[in-house]
Amino acid sequence: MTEIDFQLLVEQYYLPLYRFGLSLTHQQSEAADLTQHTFHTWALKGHQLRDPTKAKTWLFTTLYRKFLAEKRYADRFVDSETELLFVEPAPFPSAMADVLDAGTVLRELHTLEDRYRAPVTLFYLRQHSYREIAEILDIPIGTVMSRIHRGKAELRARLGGTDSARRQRAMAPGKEAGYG
Amino acid sequence: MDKSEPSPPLKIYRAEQSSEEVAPAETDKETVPAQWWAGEQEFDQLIGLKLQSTPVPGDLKSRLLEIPKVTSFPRTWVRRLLPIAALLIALAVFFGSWRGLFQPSVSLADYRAEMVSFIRIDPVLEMEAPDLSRITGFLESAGAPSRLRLPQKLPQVLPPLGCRILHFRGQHVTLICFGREEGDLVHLFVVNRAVLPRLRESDKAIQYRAEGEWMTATWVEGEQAYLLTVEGDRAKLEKYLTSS
Repeated sequence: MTEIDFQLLVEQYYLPLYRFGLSLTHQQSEAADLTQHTFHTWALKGHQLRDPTKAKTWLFTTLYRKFLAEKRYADRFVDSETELLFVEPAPFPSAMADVLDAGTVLRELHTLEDRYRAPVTLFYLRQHSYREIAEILDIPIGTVMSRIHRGKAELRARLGGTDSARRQRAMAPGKEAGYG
Repeated sequence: MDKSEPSPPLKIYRAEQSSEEVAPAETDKETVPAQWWAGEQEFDQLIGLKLQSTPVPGDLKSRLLEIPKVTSFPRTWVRRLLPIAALLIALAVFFGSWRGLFQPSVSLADYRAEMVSFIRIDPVLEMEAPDLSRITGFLESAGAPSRLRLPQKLPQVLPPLGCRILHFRGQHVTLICFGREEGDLVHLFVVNRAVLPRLRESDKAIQYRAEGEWMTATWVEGEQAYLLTVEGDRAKLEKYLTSS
C-alpha cells in the first residue's frame, strides 16, 4: 500500500472535516477537538487502512463516530424513513443570497434534526458522493438521498421563510401542478 | 392519442379548450421543473459556498501537523526497525548455527557428571508412587521421556519410589528413583539420545564408569539413552542389569 503523507492529508481534509464537525457540534472548540481526534486516530491507526483511496471516507467516518460516541446521539437517531415522499422545496428569495453569511448557514444547519444535519452538511461540503456519505454515516444510500432532500428542504424553508414561500405559491396556483 | 389530447376523463373539463389554450400549459409544465432545477442549483451553490467559507481557527492546521511528533507511529517504527531486527535475527541464526556446528558435542562424561552431581544433593521427587505405570503416566503428561524399555530385572527387584523431571541442554531428563533393600537408592536417568550425539544406537553395550563414589552404567535403547547410578561399586549395578 502506498504510504499516505500525513501533511498532505491534513492540508486536503482539515478544512472540510472541521466544518463538518462545526455543523455537528456548533462549537468551534468541539469541532477543532473532533478534527484533532480524527487526525490523531489516523496517526495511530491509519496505517491499517489497506486502500489509500478510502482515506477521505475513513477520516469523515472517524470524526462522525467520535461525535456520536461523545454525544451519545446514536440511540436518538430514527432509522425508519417515513418521509420518502417528495417534498416541494420552498422558493428561495434571491435577495437572501446577499444577506446570508456562513454563520447564518451554520446556525440554521445546526437547527436541523440530527439525522438531516450530517448528510446535508456532507452534501454541501462537496467532498463526497452519495455512496461515500452513506459509508460515512453507515446508512443506506437511499436513506442518505432522502435525508439530504428533506434536510435541504427544511434548510431552505428556514433560510427563505416558509410563510413567504407559501404566499408565493398561493399567488401562482397554476404552477402547483407542475411539480407537485 | 397524442400529448395535446386530453385523456377521456379530462375531456370533460378540456372539451371547451382550444389547442391554443392547452399549449401554454404544456410549455409551462416543461419550464417549471427547469426553473426549479436551476433554483435548486443556485441554492445548493450558495449554501455550499457559505459553508465552505466558514472560518477555521488559525492555529488548527499547525496543531494538526504537530500530531505525528507526539504520536508514535507503529508502522514507521516497525519499518525502520525491521531491517535491523532482521539483521539481528540473521546474525543470531548464523552464529547460532555456527556455534551449533562447531560447538563441541556434549560428551557422555559431561552428562554423567552433571546427573551424578544432581543426585548428590538428594533431590526432592516431584511425584512419589510405588507403581511404575503411574510414574510413566505422570512423565508422559509432562512431556518427559516416559516410554521406557528397562532391563527386566530392574523393576522386578527394585520398587520404584517416584520421579522427577530434570533438564539437560534444553531437553527433559527423566529421573526415576528405586529403593534398594539396603535402604539406599538407585537412580535411573533417561534422556533423548539426540542430546548425546556421540552415542549411537549401536552403543547398546553397557558402559560402566565411576563418578567419584558413584558407579554409573550407560546404554542406548532405541532413541533413548539410559544412565543408572548407585552409590557404591560396579557389582551393585550389575546385578540389576545382567539377565542372569
